[in-house]
Amino acid sequence: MKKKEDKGNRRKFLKNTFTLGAAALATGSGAALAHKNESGGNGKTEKVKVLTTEGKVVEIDRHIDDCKIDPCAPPIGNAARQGIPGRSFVMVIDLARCKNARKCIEGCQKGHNLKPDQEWLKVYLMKDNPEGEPYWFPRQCFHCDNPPCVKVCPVGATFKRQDNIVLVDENRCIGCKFCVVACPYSVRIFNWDEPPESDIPHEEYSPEVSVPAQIGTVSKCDFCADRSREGKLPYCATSCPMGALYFGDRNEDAVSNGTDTLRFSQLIKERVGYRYREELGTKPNVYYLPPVERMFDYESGLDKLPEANQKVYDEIRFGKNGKNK
Amino acid sequence: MNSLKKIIKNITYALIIVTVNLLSVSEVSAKVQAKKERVRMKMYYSKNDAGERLISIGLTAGSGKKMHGLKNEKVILNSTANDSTFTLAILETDSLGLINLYLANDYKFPMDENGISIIKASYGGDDTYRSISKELEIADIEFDFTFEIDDSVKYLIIKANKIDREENKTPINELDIKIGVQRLYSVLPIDIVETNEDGIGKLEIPDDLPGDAEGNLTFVAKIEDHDEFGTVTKSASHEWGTPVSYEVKPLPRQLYTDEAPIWMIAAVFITLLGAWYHFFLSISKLIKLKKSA
Amino acid sequence: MNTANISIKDFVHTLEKPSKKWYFWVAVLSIISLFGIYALIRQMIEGQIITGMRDNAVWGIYTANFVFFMGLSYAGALISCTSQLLRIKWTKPLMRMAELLTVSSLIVGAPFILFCLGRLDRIHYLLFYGRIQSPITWDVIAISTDLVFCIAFLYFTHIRDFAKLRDYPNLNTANWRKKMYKILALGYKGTADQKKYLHQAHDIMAAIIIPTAIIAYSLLSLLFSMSLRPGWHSTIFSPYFVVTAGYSGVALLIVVMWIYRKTQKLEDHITNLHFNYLGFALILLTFIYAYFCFSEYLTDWYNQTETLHLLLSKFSDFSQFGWLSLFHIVFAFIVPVIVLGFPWLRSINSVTLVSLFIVLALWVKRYLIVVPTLETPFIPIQDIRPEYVNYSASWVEWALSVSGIAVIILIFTVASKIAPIIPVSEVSDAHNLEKPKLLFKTKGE
Repeated sequence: MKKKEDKGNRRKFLKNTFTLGAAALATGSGAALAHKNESGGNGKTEKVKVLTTEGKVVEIDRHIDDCKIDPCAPPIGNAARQGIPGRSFVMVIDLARCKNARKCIEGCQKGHNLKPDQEWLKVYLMKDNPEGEPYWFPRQCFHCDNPPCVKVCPVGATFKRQDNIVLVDENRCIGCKFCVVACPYSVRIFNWDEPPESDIPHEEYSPEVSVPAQIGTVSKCDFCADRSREGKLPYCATSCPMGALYFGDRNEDAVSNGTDTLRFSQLIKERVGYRYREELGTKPNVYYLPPVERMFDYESGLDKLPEANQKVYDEIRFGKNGKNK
Repeated sequence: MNSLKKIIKNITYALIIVTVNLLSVSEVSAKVQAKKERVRMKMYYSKNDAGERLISIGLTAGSGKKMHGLKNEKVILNSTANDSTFTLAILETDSLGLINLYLANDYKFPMDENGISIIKASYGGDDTYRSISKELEIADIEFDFTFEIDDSVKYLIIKANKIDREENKTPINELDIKIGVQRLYSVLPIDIVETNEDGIGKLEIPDDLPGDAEGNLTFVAKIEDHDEFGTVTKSASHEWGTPVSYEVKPLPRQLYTDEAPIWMIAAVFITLLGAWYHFFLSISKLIKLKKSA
Repeated sequence: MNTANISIKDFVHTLEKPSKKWYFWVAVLSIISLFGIYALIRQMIEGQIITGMRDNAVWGIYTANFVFFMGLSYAGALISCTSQLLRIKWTKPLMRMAELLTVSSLIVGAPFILFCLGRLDRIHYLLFYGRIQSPITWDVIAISTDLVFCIAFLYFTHIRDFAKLRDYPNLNTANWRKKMYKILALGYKGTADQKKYLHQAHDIMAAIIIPTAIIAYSLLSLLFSMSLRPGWHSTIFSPYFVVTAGYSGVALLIVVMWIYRKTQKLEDHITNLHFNYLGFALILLTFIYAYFCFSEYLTDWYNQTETLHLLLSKFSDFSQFGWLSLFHIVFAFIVPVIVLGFPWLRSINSVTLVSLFIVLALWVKRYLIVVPTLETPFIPIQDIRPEYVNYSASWVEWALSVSGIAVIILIFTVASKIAPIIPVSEVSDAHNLEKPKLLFKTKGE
């Protein structure tokens, strides 16, 4: 077990050296890579040690080419309303792998400077019928192709792009919350009070980065479009220890969870992927793989939660009057 | 699997508790504490598509959640070839206990006649930590891609050669090479090919892989953590993909886009026109009233 | 009804120098209103964290108030405009009250949707970046149009009274008011031409207000029914809202009538007959409203989806919305039917009391439309923060709600100092009204 995990981590490490160009070694089990420059943009450098031909170790600036999409810097203002050409972003969530580790939530919150109680991504406990076994259901913005939230926005502060992404321009949002109401999946959250001070470097607000947030406006999952420009997966996908979240470009027909990269079309076909509440006609861009042949007991996802948090799921687990079990 | 993990965890805990109890009452404990902590070293060699070569060393101590990197520790890098040892470099770990050492493009390791270099990293240890060393065999490898269509089936042919000190190429057989196509976030694996005695591997490429706007696909060959060659990647581009339109199409006039459907604008406009026409009509009556006064 | 005997003389005393009591009353109302403004300023500075709204229930009593006040406005407009067009005589003494009710509740109601805005400082974006696809844009357009039209109509019905006041000898009032009457009377002298023009203006305005008000109120319902939410996503919502609006408006009109009748001693003008007629309208509306409610809930209940089932169960759960829905059922259906149904229970006072409770019950109904649905999304809420699960309004929201009522009363108080609450000229002219413009004529006409 342990050995296998180690191997996985090592593979992950190698994958990272492979894809990112910049190499670093993981200190332990899945620890963060020493990747210092988080902000986008070309022409970045890092200090590296180089062994010269003469056999001397010198420190030089190494150019990091982490720009995968031009322009690399997240667009400002109206430029952000144009999708990234040729891209069609999708997410695939493997319900069989989710065990409510909640690392995706933490990664997302850290990356987007959210408060601990602000969750762009929520993990629900679902039960499809009284006889069914509950399963964990991560849910963030579905970036619908027919988004009910965008329809109702009176000022065009939330918009749909050609690359599937639905974004919020907090510089324009008037905070009417109609989009929050219109979303059938309750994915949108409101900045009820002053957002926390941001330590994430940013030059000017871009809807793709969503940082810094503004009081009195609506925010939600942005599919980490700014990270895609650097060829990086969204925070949630990279922080999931189970690799349950796959992200990718449908036009490339590939989705990746950081370790494995799979063909999107085959994955959906073979694993009978579905979209949540297809009947609503919102045409989501997030697909789910059914929670069959699960790797974990759903109860293992409860273990780490405080008792008060566990009670929230009692109704799902035991039925309304606690009689079902 | 999970329950197994739990059992192991429990047993570990039990052992720790028993050990701690035993030790705390005996004098042995002082000696055990004075005993040096075990250190782990990881060492990898990799060569990326741009030809950049990198030696990565990681120095850690502790285990589980207490695992931490050893920072600012000296590591000596030696090379052994033909029974003689050179010191390549003396390095220091960073705050995470890591060393990343790039090799200049024209840097050459001391090699033996088979083209193999042996690199050894040693950590001397100190009062708290034990010493440790690790050895790595490194040889230079080269991949060659050829693209072939046979009976309308697309084949990628890859040739792997070892390069020795005199730049002689020797085919490498029985080498597992992962072949994939480069995607935005990662490489989408197609399959693994094994080279034959001529160092050649042949792989059928599916027809329906989306490429870029011109249909170009970037094929990537990779070996991972090989005993002799480390981690090496090499890519080549070929026009075997289905082109994807990179044209940004304007969004339609829809409820969810910026531009409203025409009928909607017309309906609102006509309704408003009708209402305000009547408003101004009645105001005009009032103006007449005022004038007639 | 002694319509012919009515004279401006009987009302001049209500318009002349206000008493100390009046000033005191205005001061009290102003303080309440100012407290609302204080609450609003606090909300703008500190953010909506000081309201009871949270994710899930992102709308609360602001939205309920918005719908409620807009609804009150609707009945007034409909009553005054139809009676103008159809030359109905008995409603004439009520017209000004109805119109004042329309305008004041529009003025108070419309801002309530703005209080929901997280960024009131960006309100002009509604014009800069307005999207015609959004129901909010429709509402903004329709309500502002409706407001302009209703204020215009209110003014039209004042012109002849202003002329009378202008011509009134020795009017004991400030000079600026006399000047104001002179300007606002537009030089109306009562010539045949002027009468004709004024009537034409009246008729045109009345004719356009009716559809405008219906559209405005239907669009209001679309704030809800355009969302894919159980309990809201329903085609019946527009007419349902229009009927609810009419019902609450007529009920409040009865209450207003009763108050003026008592305070200004208008028993001669607001008679038993008015209460009777409006009582009849009320019972009719009770049944129409019941019919709509029944249709709505029956369809929801008969084949309920999982989420709808959860939503409907909350209405019968006394730890959730049970008490509120019971209150609504009792005072919007049962009590009106009983009190208005049995002859020995009917009286001016009982009809008024029932009306007051209907108004309250219909506010509760609006609350029951807004909040439970928001608390019952498709994916059931799994949250440990109680305020995110169940909405309860904070002092800020209550302060603004109460000050809204205070502003409506204030508008009535001030307006009835400017012109008589009974439209004197309208009533005295009720018997020789200008004939309406005919669509077509038959031979001999």
